[in-house]
Amino acid sequence: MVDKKKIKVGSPQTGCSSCMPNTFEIPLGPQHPALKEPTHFLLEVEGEIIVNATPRIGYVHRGIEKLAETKTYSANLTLVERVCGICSHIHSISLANAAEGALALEGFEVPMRAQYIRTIVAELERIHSHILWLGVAAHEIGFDTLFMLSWRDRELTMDLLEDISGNRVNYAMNEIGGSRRDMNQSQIDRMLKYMDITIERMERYKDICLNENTIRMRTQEVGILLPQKARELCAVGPTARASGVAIDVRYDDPYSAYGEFRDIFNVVTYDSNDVFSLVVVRIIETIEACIYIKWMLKNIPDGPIFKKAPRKVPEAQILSRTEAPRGELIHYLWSNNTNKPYRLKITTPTLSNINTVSEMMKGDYLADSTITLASIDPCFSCEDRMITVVNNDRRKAKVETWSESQLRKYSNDWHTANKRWKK
Amino acid sequence: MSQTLQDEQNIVDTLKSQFGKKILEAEVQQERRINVKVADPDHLEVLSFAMKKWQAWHLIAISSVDKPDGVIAAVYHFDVRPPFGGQVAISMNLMIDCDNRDNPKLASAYNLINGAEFFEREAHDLMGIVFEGNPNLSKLILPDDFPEGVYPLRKDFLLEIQKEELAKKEKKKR
Amino acid sequence: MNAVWWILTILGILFFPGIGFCISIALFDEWIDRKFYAALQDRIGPEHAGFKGILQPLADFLKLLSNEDIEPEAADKWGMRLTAIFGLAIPLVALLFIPIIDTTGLLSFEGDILLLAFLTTMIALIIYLAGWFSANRLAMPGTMRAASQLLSYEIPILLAMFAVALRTQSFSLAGIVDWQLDAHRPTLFSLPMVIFFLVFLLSSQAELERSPFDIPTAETEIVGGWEVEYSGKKLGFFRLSADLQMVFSAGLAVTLFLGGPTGVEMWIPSFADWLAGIEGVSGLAVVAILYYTTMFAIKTTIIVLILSTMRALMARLRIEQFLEFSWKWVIPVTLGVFVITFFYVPWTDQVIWSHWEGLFEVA
Repeated sequence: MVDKKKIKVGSPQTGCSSCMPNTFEIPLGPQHPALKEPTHFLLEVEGEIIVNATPRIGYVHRGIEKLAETKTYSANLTLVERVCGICSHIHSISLANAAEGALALEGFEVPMRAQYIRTIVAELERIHSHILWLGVAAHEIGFDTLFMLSWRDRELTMDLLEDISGNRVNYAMNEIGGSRRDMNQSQIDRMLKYMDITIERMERYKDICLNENTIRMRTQEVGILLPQKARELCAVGPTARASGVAIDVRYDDPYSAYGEFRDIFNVVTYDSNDVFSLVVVRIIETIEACIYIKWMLKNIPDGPIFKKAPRKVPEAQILSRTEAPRGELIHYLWSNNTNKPYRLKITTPTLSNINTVSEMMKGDYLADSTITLASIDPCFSCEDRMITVVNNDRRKAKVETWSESQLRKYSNDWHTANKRWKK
Repeated sequence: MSQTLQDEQNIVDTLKSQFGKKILEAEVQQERRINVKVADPDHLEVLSFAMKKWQAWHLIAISSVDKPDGVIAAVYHFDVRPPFGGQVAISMNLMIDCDNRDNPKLASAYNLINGAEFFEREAHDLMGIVFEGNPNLSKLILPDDFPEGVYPLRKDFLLEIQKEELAKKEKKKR
Repeated sequence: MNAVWWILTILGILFFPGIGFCISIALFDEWIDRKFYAALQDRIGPEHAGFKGILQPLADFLKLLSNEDIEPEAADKWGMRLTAIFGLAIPLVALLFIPIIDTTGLLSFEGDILLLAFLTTMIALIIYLAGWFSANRLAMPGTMRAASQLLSYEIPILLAMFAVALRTQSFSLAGIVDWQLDAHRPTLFSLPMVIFFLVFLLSSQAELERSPFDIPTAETEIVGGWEVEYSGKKLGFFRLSADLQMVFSAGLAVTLFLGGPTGVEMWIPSFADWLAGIEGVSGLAVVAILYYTTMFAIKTTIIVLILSTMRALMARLRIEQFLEFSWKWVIPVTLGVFVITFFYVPWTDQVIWSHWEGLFEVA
């Protein structure tokens, strides 16, 4: 590192011996307004052009893989939901699928209604994650209006998720052997209604993104990732699909209820290989997800939602593949005929995709670095998993649940009571 | 397991006839899953063969396991038959044992698939497997000042709660 | 030039329509800007301090004054302090030349438009120095962007200002306002001037570093660019300076194109005469001052609303896209129209505008 006192005003700083002369090193992160989570990219820039980018991750590593070895399977479902704040449900589906896959070797089967409920929640999660990404991307390119409006519409999906599961973030819907909560008819009706509204809004945003000049100027021919490179660097999810590589675990390797509607499933790809293509792919995927949810809601079978599973999972090595909103998610489970996993390996889409970012950034302008990084929808908490603090004192914990209307009333009351500053 | 597993069986048969004794174990685990076990440098041959024959370009992940018998192993997960024209993908778990626990070494797949770099670095950080041929095996996930030679995901690295549990068991025995 | 005149002028500079009034209207315009911007985005905006949050900009400023002021070790400390002070002082000085309570500014002389042209450039130069002195890796690209942006928007702004001077045959703001009164129409209603008005608004947006031209301070790219190392009082000064610049740009646009602080009297000569008459009378002069100030405030607010709409509608451009846009489109078009104005103003005045003026003439 360069001694700080040696830095002269305005002189280019050559920090490392390996980098070319006449390049600045600009750190992107760990703390940066464009990053919602900590990571670090060392950008070597020549003027405004990025020559090289070196990623460094691990700032939120919490050791969840190690911790998972000490917990039972049902406790682990709760734990893996904490891997990521946004795509939490898909982690628990993945682990449940892995454990149920091991049980299936002995003939255990999960009720179909539970699979449908899981899939519906997973698709709702994809919708809210993609709209969230759209807002963040709009913010990165300085288009705050789209950011605010898209997040307003995301609230519809969040309300639905809260309606079904009682939570906005960690839904806790899954149990080994089924789902923990059922859906009644009024919830289904509300969901159908909201899905129609969401489709309408997303069509509008699609229109905006396809036709708005400044968005096109900022996203077209930025962050180019050619299909060949995408394959070499193991890109997954929307990042790969935006490069024209048609891989989608939901279609290629159907899990839960995805096998049921494989004939109406579309693998969305787009072939301009840049950030614009990512925007288009994500928006269309959101619309598609709404359509799948509507199909599932109309075809959901009756029946039990839960079948009691044995506590001990037989010895097996199960690879469970699922499609998280950001790409392919792997849970590789080694069970050893006890109630705790022997080894649980989680590989998240961001770890596969982070390599592509360096490739996408090279040759681009510094101004594009953040939208390029954001374009893969990075989720660094997913990528880094470690916990060292364990709170042993759970006796005093008290849970108070507020309903949505109570919360709204509280906020309204607070606003009227605090119109002026009080001491 | 009533479904026909013909495609999966074909792949296993092809591998067995191609590599003969180099394949230590090969079985169809369940629908769309194949487990194969080979020795150290052979996994690169299997990979490149699969890449030529089935266009297996999609490396999904690389896992590392500290097996119950004390052997450290790496598992390469890849789509041995990637999806084409609406077919389902078939994925393979290719397991390779390291022969030495203190200094586990494996040949890196970096030259075959560049994307393997980060997966291998992760395994290097957490399980201590040295992938020979990987251009950059510096710390990726753990902090730079993390002690050398300590690998958190090995079974001999104990968390506080694991230590407590062990102590409780000891007490019960007494 | 007696003692009373001196006292009045000093009071004027300090309170009304000088520093005190300008700062109030700057904070008010910031509130308008924030509220309107929020409304466009389906938000509420500032809500708690004062009526509908009208005091929020003031509260923000006071809060920043009380914040800790951190100076990096490698930075030029005195440079940073001086740029912050000059950044606040220059727009304030420039605002004294804008006619607010009268058809002439508080300070006014023949040729003050040249001084204002110099002062707007100075503001950009201060931004450049501010980034340079703070010795930060993220401030450097911001500084470079500010400098290249300066070159591209200053030329259209200057051309627009001089085109108006050319049209009105006057090099002082008072003269321009008088010309508009005499001609019974704002400068805007002369054909080439519409183009200059649009160019002026566009370039003002760039000068104010607001989206889509907030390239030098792009928060999500270079963390605030040149102002990244400024905190506490200095940041408060720069924020207030940005508000003052907004008022200054809007006020200049109003003066150059929309008739300054004058209003309906442009078309009602008797009202204009009455206004001119009461200016000498000490009691009734207050009415005239209030009238002019209100007109100025209304017009400035309209300009601010246009600027905020522009801000809400577009994504941020990249620096090289902005330069391309500026050098390939705005500057050639402005230059071309400028030349046309130079040669054809006499002709248009005689042939075309004589018909046009008939519409506004009140017998």
